[in-house]
Amino acid sequence: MFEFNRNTLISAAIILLLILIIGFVYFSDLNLPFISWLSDLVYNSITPILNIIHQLVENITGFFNTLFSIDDITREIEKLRQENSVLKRQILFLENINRENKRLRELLEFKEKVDYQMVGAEVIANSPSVWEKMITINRGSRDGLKERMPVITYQGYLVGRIEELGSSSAQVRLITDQNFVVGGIIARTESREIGLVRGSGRDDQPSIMDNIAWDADIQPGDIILTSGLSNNFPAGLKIGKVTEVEVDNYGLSQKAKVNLFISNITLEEVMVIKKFDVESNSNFDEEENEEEINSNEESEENDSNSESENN
Amino acid sequence: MYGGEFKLKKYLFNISILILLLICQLSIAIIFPSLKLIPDFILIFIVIRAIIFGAKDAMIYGAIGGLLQDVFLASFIGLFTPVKIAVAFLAALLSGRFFPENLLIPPLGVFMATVVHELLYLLLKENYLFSADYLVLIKEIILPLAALNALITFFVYLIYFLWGRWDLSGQA
Repeated sequence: MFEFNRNTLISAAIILLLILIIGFVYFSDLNLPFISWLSDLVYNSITPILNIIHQLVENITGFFNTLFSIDDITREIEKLRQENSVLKRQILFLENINRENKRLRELLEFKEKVDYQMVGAEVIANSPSVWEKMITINRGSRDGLKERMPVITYQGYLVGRIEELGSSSAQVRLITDQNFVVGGIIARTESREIGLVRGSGRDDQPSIMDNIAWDADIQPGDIILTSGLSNNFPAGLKIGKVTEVEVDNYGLSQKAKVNLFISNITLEEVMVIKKFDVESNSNFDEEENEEEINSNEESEENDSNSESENN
Repeated sequence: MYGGEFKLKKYLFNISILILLLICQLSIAIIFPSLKLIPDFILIFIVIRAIIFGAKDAMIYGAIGGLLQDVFLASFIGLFTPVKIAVAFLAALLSGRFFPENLLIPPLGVFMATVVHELLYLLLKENYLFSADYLVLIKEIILPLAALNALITFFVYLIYFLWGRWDLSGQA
């Protein structure tokens, strides 16, 4: 039986004290150098093992895939060779157009719209909890990455942003995480309405785009892109597709359910945008909305309560 | 002298197991991308230890396991550290109250521990605290996760139990 003698009480007091100290350090957001050092040490020691395991798993699956689909691969190679020759011709054609485009841009003094500096990375680990949507990638501060850098897929879908950096790895908070907020804009010629896209915290549920004006023209099927108003993300990254629109805040605004593009793909490789041209994103005249979106995104990054701010 | 060395070896061995379990927990969704739930191997380890060896032992490993898990969630001291210590303490209340032959008690303990663990985490997490629909989360995430953890525990405890029997029969 469990007996409450003197030793048990002392143990319970020590445990309670320990939990209180841990709780205090957590809730007060104290940044103790020793703890940071220890955290980096643990993180940087475990991630190389994860990298090796990832390589190993990839090699094994690659080997068996090759072994069991040798006929398919031969057919695929033949098909790719044909495609390759077609693409080579197209490249030559496009190079001419590109040269002409550049020359005309120079003549008209147009600024390049997309000016990303990117680095590719592989996903080596997932989140250890169902409540936190995070991934670990095999690029870190050594590769020139910094916190808050946007992460996208090869198709250009927004994946998330870098939250924590190690020397050769980084943790990315996904767009599906409940803490994640990004400014979104409708990609339709007749409608350029803006709002805030928030992660639902679930992979199987759509994200919510709220703070949309009550009279905004938004319909199911609309594509949502990053607005680029906050300077944290470049404009034009694909976020998702609107599935449902409903009235919010007793008719004062609207909110929409957004099916994220990344929900339909398996994240294996991603790209980190190291540098993007902020000036090219300032296409909007809505100064008030810009300020609002900026302040909302910043406040979410500081882990404040998002709900209270909107209400 | 020997006792101290043995204890240190035991701690190092168990910490290595915890690191291995964390790696499994981090990699499982990469190996099986269609998996919706991530089993909490660290929690299973801690609860089994709490049931077999008591509160003190389990709470030490609860703290270490929680710290390791928090490192991969952007903070060294996060919510998993206190939550895992608390769950280890509660799970230790089962210690010494059942016969080792009863193979259903550890999975049941892990099932309840998972429910308490996830609810405690949600209650302490500020962005879930007021916005979460607890009934939906319990139905769609917490109970299936608890069942998954319990199922894994059943097989792990069965292996542990049979290994112990084999060891006692002098064949080791």
